Amino acid sequence: MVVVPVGALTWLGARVVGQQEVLASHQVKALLIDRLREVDASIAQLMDARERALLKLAAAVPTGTDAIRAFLAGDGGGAEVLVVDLEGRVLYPPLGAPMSAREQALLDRTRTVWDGDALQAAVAVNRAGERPGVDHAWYGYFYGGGLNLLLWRAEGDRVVAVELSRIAVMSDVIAHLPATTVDGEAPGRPESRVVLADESGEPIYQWGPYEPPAGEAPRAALALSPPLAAWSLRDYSPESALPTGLTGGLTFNLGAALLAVALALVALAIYLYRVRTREMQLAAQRVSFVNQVSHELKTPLTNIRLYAELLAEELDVDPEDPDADAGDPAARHLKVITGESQRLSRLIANVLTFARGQEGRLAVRPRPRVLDDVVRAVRATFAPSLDQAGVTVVLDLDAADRVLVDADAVEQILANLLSNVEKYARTGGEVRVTTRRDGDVSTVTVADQGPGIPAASREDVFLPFRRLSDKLSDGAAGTGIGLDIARQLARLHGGDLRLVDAARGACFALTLHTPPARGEDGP
Amino acid sequence: MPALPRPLALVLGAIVGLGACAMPTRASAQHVTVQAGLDHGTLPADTKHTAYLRVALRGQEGLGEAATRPPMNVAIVIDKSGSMQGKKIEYAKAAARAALDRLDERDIVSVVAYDSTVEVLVPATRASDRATILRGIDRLRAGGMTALFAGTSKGAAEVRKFKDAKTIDRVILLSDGQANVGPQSPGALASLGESLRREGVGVTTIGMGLDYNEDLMVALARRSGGNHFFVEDPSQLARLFAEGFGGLASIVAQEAVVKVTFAEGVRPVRALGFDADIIGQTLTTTLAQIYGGEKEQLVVELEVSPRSAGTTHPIARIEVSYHDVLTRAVDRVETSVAATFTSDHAAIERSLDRDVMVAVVERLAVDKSRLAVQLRDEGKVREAQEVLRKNQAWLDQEAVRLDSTRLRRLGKKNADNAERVEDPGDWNKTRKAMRYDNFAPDYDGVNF
Repeated sequence: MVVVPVGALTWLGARVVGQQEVLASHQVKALLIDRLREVDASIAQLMDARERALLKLAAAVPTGTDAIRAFLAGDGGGAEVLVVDLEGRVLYPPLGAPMSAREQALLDRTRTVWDGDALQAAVAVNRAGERPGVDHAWYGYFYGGGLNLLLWRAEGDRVVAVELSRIAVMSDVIAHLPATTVDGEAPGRPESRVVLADESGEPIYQWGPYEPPAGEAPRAALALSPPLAAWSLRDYSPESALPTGLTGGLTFNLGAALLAVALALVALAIYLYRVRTREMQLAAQRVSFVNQVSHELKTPLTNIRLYAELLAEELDVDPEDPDADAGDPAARHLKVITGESQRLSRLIANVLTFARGQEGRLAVRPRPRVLDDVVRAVRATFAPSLDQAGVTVVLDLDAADRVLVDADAVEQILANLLSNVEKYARTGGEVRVTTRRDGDVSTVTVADQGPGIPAASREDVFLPFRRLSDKLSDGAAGTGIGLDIARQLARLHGGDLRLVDAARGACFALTLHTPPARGEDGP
Repeated sequence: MPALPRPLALVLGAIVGLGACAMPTRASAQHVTVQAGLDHGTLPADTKHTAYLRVALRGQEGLGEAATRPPMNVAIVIDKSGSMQGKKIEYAKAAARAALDRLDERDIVSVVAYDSTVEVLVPATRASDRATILRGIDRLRAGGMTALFAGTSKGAAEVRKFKDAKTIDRVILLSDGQANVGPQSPGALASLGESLRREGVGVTTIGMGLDYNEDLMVALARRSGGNHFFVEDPSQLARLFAEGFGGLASIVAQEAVVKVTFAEGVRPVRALGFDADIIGQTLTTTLAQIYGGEKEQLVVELEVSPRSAGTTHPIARIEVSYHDVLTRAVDRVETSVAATFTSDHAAIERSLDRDVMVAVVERLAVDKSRLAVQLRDEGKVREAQEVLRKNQAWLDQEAVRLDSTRLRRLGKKNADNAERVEDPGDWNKTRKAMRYDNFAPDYDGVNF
């Protein structure tokens, strides 16, 4: 009678432990992959910036050998450029005419590009393909033991390809990635080693104090986004740095389990306790990760703001004044700096809110306010950047009563929605913000005319660290926590945030529990 | 300090055909003087003839200590791999501290250390913040592999932070080993040098001891527009740094673009000892910087078509534009060279320009010395020896003809090297010295 329940308990316990081990290992791996994704995203951002710069350069390349040479020696800053036409003729360097050793060397190393019609084929595919009207792309070719990149830009019959040499990319990426932190600078940071490897798996660059023993397999690996998809990131972490132990888990002593029910209950209690600690460790790990990120964001932001303020003083401009940039590039640049630092502030607010949410400390504090006023304030903040993105904001407001609402929370939710519009629906024409009030429930809808969100991903977008991995989000920066936070805040406020059907674009509906306010106004 | 170099001369050699008389001309614009001339101002008439054109650019001396000198923006990149353990790392720290003594509140300095990974010990900081910088230097500990490419790239990233049109931007790389993490071929490091050169960041490389890869360190420095140094005894490092930073402060011009347009009937054959773009009748090259009090010489070999006696023909027009770091303006200098043609051999002899000829002989001799290194690398010891001995004989003869101690010294060096290449135990050291000499600038000063 004793043996049976104890045996059953033991067996069940062992199974649960086993599953827990598997689950934990998946979670750890997902966490490490997320970390590598962040690195990949930052490299992708760097490559986007390079792409923009090279595209500008390609567009400025004149016609005619002498003009091109003069351009490259002057404004071109010594760039290496290949010009071909769609018939496969090389227009520059001047094939067959006298040329410099440097031009000859360029022709030699790009032979596979211009000898044949590989580049022309790439142009044709691009023109016929998914991105009509976008007449530029990266072109990778093999030379000198690895991948090399050209950015080509086609205009009519002429294709200008600017070289971004393998070594320049490596050096740029290295300059961009973190260094190993110096001893004692960041205590508590998990010790690990991240390796950026080339197409043959050889390390290009690595950082982190952990020195993995030869032959150790990486805990996680991730291929970079195009155009550097041949390269990969690998994470090595020692056992001790992982959020939960993966091995040496609970080994139940089956013999002991047979002894007594009491003993089994003790074992069970221990087991439950450990599972809980483990979950807490994992959560704490995540929270410390975001806290760390926000901490690192704060320092540069403080500097940027400080210098922007100093600059505004020196230039005697008001960065808040939308007309301040009339004809004055310095004031315009200053506005960009101010705008960007505001954006960063929002980002940090998101991260900190997220961290609070993880710790269960998130709360809303409704005070008497007029919802429409809150919406107008957010619109004003976003007006410059949305203007620049070519998006018009149309307000359709009908919630002019004083209600109990947490203006900060609503602002944060709307800021997240509008910043998504700015990122993903740039050429989307207009965004319509509607407010309605029905009894104790207020509804705010934000409808854009951008590319929308596929039905299958409707719920996914609300998951933290989830960004739809299609062309849409390639190139747009983001932490992937905005919508998660927005929904958490909405739910705390007695409502919800949902993605609703729309004929065009994405339409988010925010509902809030807003009982009418009585008595005095809030602040 | 290793033996050194004579003035780095940028000589454009012009060839002259028949009797020619080159008229050396001088032009001066503010802080850089440009002087151009042929090896013989008068050339033989009625025959195809090889001549050499030299263009010498000299920076004005004594401006380095001026209150108006431009700010220096340097990253000191130190190899802290396992092989640096012990005295070497202490000497490297001392050298970094010595560098700090040569900088003042105008200057920006960062300290980067690398082994398998890279640590930014001191991010780009004003040199007046001595306490922070010294604390960073003190944190330096040796151990690990050698990620030389990454270290240099991170150093460059620190330099970029404060780089502007008026700063003198340098990465100073100190290594005693072979690169073994990340890109590590001399070709890859040469490309890195070239890429940094385009941004206007020079790399000064310092090889310590006898285990570093001189091909890689030379290629990185040369292609970036910087200089390479070889220090066998690490105790000399601090002195090298002190002197080298003095040289860095003396820079009067950056990005000096030299364009030589050759007259009809004059064909540029090759640039001796410097990289240049030769397209048809024009030669273009860029000097990353000109140090105060030092002379850069460009020598070009020319082929001059037959001309009749008694005539004077233009040979080349030289245009130089450079960024004057003191006035922060772009200055231009132009000069031209012509030659007179004659059948009178005595007149040709009399028109010899000794200075130009010494520079030409030096460059031709260095070419041979490079060939000897190559032969020795292929295991052809005898052939290498023969090349060096012939070189010595020719140098001795030219030293007498031109009455040049420089050439005599160079001849002696070739003779010594001819002995040394035989000794396999000594080859590592000899090769470093030879590579160093073969790529050293002409000047005797130490200029980072």
